[in-house]
Amino acid sequence: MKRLIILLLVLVSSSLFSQTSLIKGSVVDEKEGSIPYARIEIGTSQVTSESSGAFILQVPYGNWTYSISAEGFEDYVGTIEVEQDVIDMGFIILKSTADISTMTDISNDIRDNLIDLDDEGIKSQNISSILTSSKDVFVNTASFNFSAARFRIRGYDNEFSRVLFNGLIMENGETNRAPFSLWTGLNDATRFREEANALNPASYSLGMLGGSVNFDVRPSNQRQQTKISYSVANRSYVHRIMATTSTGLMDNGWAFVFSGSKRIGNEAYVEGVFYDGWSYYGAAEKKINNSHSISINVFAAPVTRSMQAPAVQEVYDLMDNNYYNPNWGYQDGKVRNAKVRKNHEPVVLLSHFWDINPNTSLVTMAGFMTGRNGTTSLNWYNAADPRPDYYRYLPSYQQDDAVTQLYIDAWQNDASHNQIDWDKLYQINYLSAMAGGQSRYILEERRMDQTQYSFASNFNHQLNNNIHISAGLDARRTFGDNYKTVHDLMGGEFWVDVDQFAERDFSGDSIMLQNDLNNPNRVVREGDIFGYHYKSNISKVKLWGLSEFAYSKMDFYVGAEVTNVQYWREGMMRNGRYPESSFGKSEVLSNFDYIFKGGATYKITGRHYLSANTAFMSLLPSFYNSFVSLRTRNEIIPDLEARSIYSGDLNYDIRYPRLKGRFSLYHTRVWNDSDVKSFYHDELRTFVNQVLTNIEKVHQGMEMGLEVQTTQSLWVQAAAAIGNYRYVSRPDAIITADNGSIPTENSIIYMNNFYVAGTPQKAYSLGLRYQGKKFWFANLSANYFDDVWIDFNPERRTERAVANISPDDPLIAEITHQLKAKPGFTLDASVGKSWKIKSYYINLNINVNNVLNNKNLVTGGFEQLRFDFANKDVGKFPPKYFYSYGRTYFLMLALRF
Amino acid sequence: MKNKINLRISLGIIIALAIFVSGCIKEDFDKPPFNVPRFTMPDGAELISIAELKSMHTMSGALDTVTTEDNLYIKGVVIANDSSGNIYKTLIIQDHTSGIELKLNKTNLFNEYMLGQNVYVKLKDLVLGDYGQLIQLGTVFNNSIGQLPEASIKNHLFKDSLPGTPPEPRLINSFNELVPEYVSTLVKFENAQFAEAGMPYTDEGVANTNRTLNISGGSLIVRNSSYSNFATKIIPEGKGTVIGVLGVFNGTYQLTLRRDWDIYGFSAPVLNHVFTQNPLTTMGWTAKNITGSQEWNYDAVSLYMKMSGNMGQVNYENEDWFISPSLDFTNSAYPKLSFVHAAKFGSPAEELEVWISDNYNGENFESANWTKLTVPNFPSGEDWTFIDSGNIDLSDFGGKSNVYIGFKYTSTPESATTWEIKSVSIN
Repeated sequence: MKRLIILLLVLVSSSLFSQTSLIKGSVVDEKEGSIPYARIEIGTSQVTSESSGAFILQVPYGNWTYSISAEGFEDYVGTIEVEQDVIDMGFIILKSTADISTMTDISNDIRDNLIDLDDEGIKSQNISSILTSSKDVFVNTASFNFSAARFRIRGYDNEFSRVLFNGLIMENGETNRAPFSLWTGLNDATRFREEANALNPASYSLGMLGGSVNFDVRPSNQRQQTKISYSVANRSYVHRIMATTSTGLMDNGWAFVFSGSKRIGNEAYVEGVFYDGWSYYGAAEKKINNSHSISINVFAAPVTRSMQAPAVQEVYDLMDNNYYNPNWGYQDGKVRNAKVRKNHEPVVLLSHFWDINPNTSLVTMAGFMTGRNGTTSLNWYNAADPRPDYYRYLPSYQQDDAVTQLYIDAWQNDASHNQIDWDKLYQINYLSAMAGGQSRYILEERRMDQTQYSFASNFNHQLNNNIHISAGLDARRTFGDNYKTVHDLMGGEFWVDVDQFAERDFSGDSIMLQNDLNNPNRVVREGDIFGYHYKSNISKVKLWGLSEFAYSKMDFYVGAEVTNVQYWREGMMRNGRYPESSFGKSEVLSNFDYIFKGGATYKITGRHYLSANTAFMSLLPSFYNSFVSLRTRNEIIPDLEARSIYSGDLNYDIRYPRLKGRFSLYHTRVWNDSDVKSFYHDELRTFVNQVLTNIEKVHQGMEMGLEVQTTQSLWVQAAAAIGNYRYVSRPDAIITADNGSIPTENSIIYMNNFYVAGTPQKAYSLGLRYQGKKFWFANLSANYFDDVWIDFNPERRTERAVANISPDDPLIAEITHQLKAKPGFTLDASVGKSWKIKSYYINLNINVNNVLNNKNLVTGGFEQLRFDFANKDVGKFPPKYFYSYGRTYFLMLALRF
Repeated sequence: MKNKINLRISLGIIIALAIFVSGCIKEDFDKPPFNVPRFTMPDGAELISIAELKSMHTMSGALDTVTTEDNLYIKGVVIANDSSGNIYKTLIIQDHTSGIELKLNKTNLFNEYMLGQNVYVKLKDLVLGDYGQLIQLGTVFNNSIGQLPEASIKNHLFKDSLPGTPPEPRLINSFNELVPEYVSTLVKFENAQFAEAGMPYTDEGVANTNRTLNISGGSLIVRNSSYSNFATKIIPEGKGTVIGVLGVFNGTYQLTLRRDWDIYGFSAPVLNHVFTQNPLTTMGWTAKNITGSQEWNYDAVSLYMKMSGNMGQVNYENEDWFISPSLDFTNSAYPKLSFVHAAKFGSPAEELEVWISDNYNGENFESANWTKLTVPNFPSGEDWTFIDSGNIDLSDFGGKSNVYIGFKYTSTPESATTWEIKSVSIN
């Protein structure tokens, strides 16, 4: 028996620790400039080249095919016989290719097209697709082909992905999400990146659930190149001009990168929407000596744009347009949109790179970001609702057939009825001003300005051939300033800062209606702060460590991260409804968040490998989701706890030279989650907050990606994501009104097994990619989406909602059943050609999304948070839908030299 | 070298971009011009008076389409709208003949139709109906009179010019003056008094509350909505002026208030003493005998205070004061004194006086400052008829908190009046 065990151990150890070779080399371009981020794959081993172009990796003995690829270059392939301890491949020269992908540009564009839904109860649109040029077969397809359907990988909220610059985490302090809008329009400057998929950790960060990407913005890592491009499109903007120049590391030890872009367009696809943005980027690096280098990056993406809002299907049908936008109207003959977002949030990054020795590096970063982020919105006092699609202005609300017809005619023919009638709002304000009264209608701007200081240091050490250690420290402090100002008095003279809803409901009580008891009945004018004002304070200190072990047959890793999180709110106004708990500092909410990760990869053969990852996390909800009603008071969600998350996945990878594939199964469970939804209740005429606690969710499913090279120039790509994202508990809900007019309601929400909304849970894509000789390419892909579930109103799944209805009445199902959108199909195509003239490359790319112009693809929607409790009429406040755009194009002409 | 050339070219392009930036979309919007609404009736159109329109209503409960022609109009001035919330989805307009309620399915009408706004109403397809006999103009809804749909308002109501001064309310002196023509017009009552003084305008938990306003010759129901912005305010005590829109409900007159400052000038009487009991012992009055042995005394049979310097047919010299309790004028800026008295014999106008002091404290009679008041009406002295003294203006003492009134009686051996005071009131 003992001998058997020893024999087994010997066999296992010999197979695990059989002979391997260390292969090294250097990837350079035709001008002998180094190519960082080239991907070197030998057999199943892979590595990315350093900034010097050098690479080193461990490969077991055998006969392998290899491939070396880098963006902007032709792939370099061959076979290699590995039978020595050390192999030096020398300088591998890659030939520049003219083909550059516009996929990033388009995905970014799609992602940038946010819909602001904050007064409908849903916070700013949550976007995934950070991994747009990943080499992972599934992610590569999913993030581009599925992005128009707002697909989220594994259904996760954006807060579970990590985005870093040079190893410094970039996150919005209040929502924990990656702040993509900070570098919109800087695609060329942020081209180099390292990515880790889903649960996989990386040397720069442990990551969470949804993958991580580290943008390498170190100037010396950028190749010397200048690129200028002009594009024309019809999604969010029409014209774009972008220019980027990098010097690469020059002889004097300096490296610079400059980039800028301008994007502009009026009503590119949706009526009433304009876009005016530009971006600037500058970076400099000085190599002090062979070990030390410092760099600075400064960038920002100031954008002014107006927004679209979803509407109910009745309105889309009336206007015969699934992209009807209720946010705009005519003012003196010109189009004016009430919701204008204006951001300018510059970022400064300082980095220090220290190559302590060939095996050890320490990168230290300091980051600073500040700026303004505001969105305008109409507000009104003792006046008729100015929104054209207010439910009482719809034909369905009218009770008489003749009147219904009258409304249908008005909707279809009268712009003062189907869009905002700005002229009338001004006339009403003029009349009021004449009588000495305040403006009845104003535009207010809601500001969410953040200033963040961050500091991080990442340590990497290759202990020996097999063990790599990464560790890091990250400390950051966010100061948020949230308030609203009077943006435009619209022809009036002033506004009085009181809560008109409390004034109405508590008539005669001059305390309840004050928004700021420290300044009661304040008269405010353009530029003055009013309504609400609070500061958010977030402090995080993080320590993490990761050990990666690589052996010829097996790799494994283990990692842990601990973060001390602290939040508190500071109220700057004493709210009349909550005089004791609104002004001044709140309680400090504090927690030790932690993440534990572990995983292993077993290399079955050189071409097949099996891996498993597992993670356990305990995370406090974001600042935004920890308070009951941030606008009015300091109250923290009662009994708030950290969420517990367990996740695991199993992956099977195939790597042949002409066939690559990945098949994965994953399962994630979340406990103790909480969520806050705020919406404007028009009958109570105040904001109502629904706070849900004790939410449990499951995200499970399978992902499949496959790429097959059928001929020299034709590839077939397929991807499938089949997910099952559900709620698996009955959360507790606390429902409160900001004007204090209804007593706090406690309910249980019967939403067990409801589907998580916001992404198609089933997505499939099949595509062809043709790479022709003489530098041209073409792509065609067919995509199919299903299981887009509509976000639901928790209050409709309570006992109160179905009270007094007999158990076998189908009305119960109508009230509680969750809606699903119809599945949809789209076809995307692109074609491009490049030319080389002396040392100049010219590219022309044309991309057409949704070639078949399918305008009926619902990519999401939500039930309104109001419910007709009195008559239980589900049709009174129907859901609002957003549709994927019809046929859109993106045409780009670029020059590189 | 190439580095530098590339750099320069690219920098140049980026600078060009920066210049490009200035060509951005303008965000600031011009304000649209102020439009003074103008309306003239089309050629051939006829204007009828509101009284004439109301006469077209055949009978209570009927729904009479005014006309199907598009050439008939009425014109009125807005006298009541929904600004306080007491009136809902209604505008009331009046012309020189009468007034009428317009039922309109729109809220916050006051923003566009302010008091004093001239409005033309095109009568085509509009219907006259009534609610408990109160005539209204609207459309048919569920077999009764209903509101004009919001989308139709712009086809029927036309504003002309800017809002001007609303018409003066008609002063109604007595209940008997009320006639049906006044319904839906602005009326004013003086010296009116609410029966529910001290209670809020509306009761809690109900949509509408009836209150009673007592006026000379009768009383009116005042119906208030709990959605009004004065719903929880307290009805003032005493008497004052009330302005409102006259209404009717099944034969009884009603009043609709527009806003709470249409009720003003209310003051509770500072003093309202009727001497059905001895004021010296029960109402805090005092009597001071300065000269002579005759004194103020109370006649418990005839119920008045009496003073006479005549005893057994002989006149004696007397000076006697009948002094009120301390009076508080803090809530009264314009107090007015009046009393009911009779006097016979002697010369009342010369021998009877009323004085006032603001620094008398009950003890310092000699040193206190007394000011003589002018009494409008003295009895002639010929008979025992009680008359009202008339209002004596005490506004010089308005707002003070410690005021005393003194009734000073003097007599001489030659002349002595007998003075009887039945009641004293200060409003």
